[in-house]
Amino acid sequence: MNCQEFLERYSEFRDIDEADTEPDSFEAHLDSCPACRRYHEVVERGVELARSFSGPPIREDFEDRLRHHIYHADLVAHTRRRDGSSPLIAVALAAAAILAGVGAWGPISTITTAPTVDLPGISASAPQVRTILEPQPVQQSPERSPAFLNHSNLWSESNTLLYEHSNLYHRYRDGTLIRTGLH
Amino acid sequence: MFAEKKTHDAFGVIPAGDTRKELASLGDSEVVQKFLDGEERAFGELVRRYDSRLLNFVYRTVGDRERAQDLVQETFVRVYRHLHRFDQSKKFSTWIYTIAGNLAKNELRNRSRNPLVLFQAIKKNWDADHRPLEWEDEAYKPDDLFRKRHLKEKVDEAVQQLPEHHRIVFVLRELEGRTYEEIAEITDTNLGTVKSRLNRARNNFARIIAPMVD
Ligand SMILES: [Zn+2]
Repeated sequence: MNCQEFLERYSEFRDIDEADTEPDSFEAHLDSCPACRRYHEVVERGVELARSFSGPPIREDFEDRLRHHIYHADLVAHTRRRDGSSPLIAVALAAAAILAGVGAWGPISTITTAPTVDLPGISASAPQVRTILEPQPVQQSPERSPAFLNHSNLWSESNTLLYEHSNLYHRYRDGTLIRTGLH
Repeated sequence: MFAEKKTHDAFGVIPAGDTRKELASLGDSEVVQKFLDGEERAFGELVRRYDSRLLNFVYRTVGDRERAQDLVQETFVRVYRHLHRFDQSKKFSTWIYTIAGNLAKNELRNRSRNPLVLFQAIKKNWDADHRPLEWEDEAYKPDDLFRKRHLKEKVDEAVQQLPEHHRIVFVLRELEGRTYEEIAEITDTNLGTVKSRLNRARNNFARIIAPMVD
């Protein structure tokens, strides 16, 4: 065996448990070749060092975050499957489930039972109509003000939620409308 | 799914302490079966068994502590949601490493969306696969204090300098102790590819680390 062959087949020697190779020829070469002996030592020592340095520690809140993610992912998926309702409702339900479920998940937490609380019935009524912040006239050239922004229904009550949560709302408030963000 | 499991758990069919001890004494496949049977605590046992190991593996692969934590979180979320699809004739550890490995690979792929970065990565991979294997022990040896101070950095750096497809097999074999077959499954390659990449990865690693090693 020469040095080139030793390098090319080195893994057969290092992973002897994985190969059907007899180590004799490798060992004979190592006995007679200081360069390849050094190579083998460097690999062994380097790997030993790499193993001895522990990686980053698991963050303290790792399990809490994981519990949160699992509840969230599971409930959103379940809600979507069930009735195809909007992601907003699913997220709200997920948040409620997290509040209810935190601490009750057995595998990680030590709390094994959750108290049962009788709550009074909830009656809901329609929310008050909020004042809608009308967009101010855009202080920019007309070609940068898309025509659909003037559509009368866009700012109507039924679109309040959409409007207030869209990029348009914030950009108008800042008075720095450049693009609509809708493509 | 949740309601059923939570109810079962909340009733505390078995006291928590005993359950934990019992779970800790089981093999992976039995813990998986417990979870599938509705024992939620079994998932906690899997998390305890694999969180640090996966974090090490993913961190070594992507080289970013914070992202590694996120990717390990995502791995467990996927395990939780898809465990019922896991083929129980296979090893659970291989399956969970495959999920983590795929997430790590996606992370690296997303980083190389820039065409220039992508080109450099392809070139680096090509060079690493085709460069003749060589070994020349350089005479340079830093003094002891310097060496001690920088050893950890150098070792980490040596692993990070390996091209992605060499790094992942190197980490799985040398730092995680996986078999060739497991590595082939985790990286979705064949045994021959695993062997050749591993040999080249070791050669590269040795050349980088040599000046620091007595
Ligand atoms: Zn030699």
